[in-house]
Amino acid sequence: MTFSIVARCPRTGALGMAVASASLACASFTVHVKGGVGAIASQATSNPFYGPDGLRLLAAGKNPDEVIAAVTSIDPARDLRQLLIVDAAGRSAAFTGSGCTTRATHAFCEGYAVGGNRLADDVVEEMARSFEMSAEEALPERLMQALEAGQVAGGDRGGRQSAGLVVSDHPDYATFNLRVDDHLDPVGELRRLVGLRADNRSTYDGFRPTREQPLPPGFVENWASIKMTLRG
Amino acid sequence: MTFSIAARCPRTGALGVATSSKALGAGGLVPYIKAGVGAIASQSFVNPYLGYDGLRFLEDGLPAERALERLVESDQGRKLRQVGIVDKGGRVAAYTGERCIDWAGHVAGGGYLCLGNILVGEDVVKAMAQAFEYSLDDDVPERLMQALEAGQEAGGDRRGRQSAGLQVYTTEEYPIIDLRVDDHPDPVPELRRVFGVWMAEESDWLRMIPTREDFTPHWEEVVRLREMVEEDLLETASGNAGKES
Repeated sequence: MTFSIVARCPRTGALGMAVASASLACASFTVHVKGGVGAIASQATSNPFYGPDGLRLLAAGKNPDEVIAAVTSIDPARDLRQLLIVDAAGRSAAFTGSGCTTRATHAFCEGYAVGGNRLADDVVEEMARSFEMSAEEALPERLMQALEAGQVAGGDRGGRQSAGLVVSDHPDYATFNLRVDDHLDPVGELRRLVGLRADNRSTYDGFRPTREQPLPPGFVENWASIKMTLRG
Repeated sequence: MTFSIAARCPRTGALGVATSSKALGAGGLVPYIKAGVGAIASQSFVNPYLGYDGLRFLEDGLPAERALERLVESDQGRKLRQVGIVDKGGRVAAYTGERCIDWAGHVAGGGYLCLGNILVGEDVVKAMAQAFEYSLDDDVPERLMQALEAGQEAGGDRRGRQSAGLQVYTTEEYPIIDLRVDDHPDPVPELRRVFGVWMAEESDWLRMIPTREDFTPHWEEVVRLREMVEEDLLETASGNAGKES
């Protein structure tokens, strides 16, 4: 049904997730990323509380193994759920319920976890290999490449419909957040959006309010030219 | 730059936001909603803290008007911002900073408000409000969609078209609907198309999604549907094998 990766950038500490699935708007319910806390993929016949509860438990100091034990122990349908977790320290863990549709599997190492269900044969292995080999790149690009590797390996056996990529290196909001909710080639379309965002990087990365500084530095000084640009 | 509607369903208490903009992925930036608390649209050089803090103020019991005052007070960049709030009681409050680019403004009605900036004119928000009023018999996702369509038909964002989004919360911590079109030449009709796919493929599943009290609602049906999907896959697999041989 779905293949995904959660990861932490060893250089910047940014946390993120990429996902694709043969279901509508998969990023809407599978992706749970909080800067400085963790990234959680909740999929298969997903329980929508694994993500928010898991992030709260990570923020309270639990490690990924403890989070998995906590959320699955109270869920009578845990056999149908799949969960991938990486925390702000780079610790990772994963859970694939025994009833998830074949092939359902996962792998995790320091700094990342990959997994999926209803997959073609080598999807998880190819995603992990891609991620290992892209260590020079920034996290959004690494996640994108891993997702592409998963799709090339056959992806979801049920087909293609949606994809998403979310990264946060900010305590309060996602700094990179793109979705393709219904498309014939969602991973290819997501790559196009990533390119579009890169072309306008100054707009997206330059304007970033923080709690202390809701108006970014230089903004007032540059107001005249910003206004000209926006008037179009 | 952006036109949005935030609203509360007078029948069900559902809270939602629909938005469209000449910006990449506006559906991921503008809506801030919490079930049973309120719906906020934060736009025009988006300050996401107006969304987070606004929901916190509402949760602390402030009505929309008071929450808005505190938000605007707290933001040194207020002259550039636009924010609209609908609280759980259906009270509304909106603010359009004096340096938002023309046309910028908002109209408020009972339980909803329409707001926008860098629009072709005031007609955009007026058309949105009218469409929302006229669709009273429909469910709130449909009403928000109709309002957004009316805003686009009235000219929408005068910089152009790029993205759209629709989010609705009812009683749970997660949205019942959360759809986005992040980059498209005609995002509002594309969102309507995706909304149609949601109605056809997903809306039936809603009653089978876990709630806080019950992680396995209508479970026999979930198991049955799952078996059907597995059978389809097996058929597809054997069909493909046949073609290849």
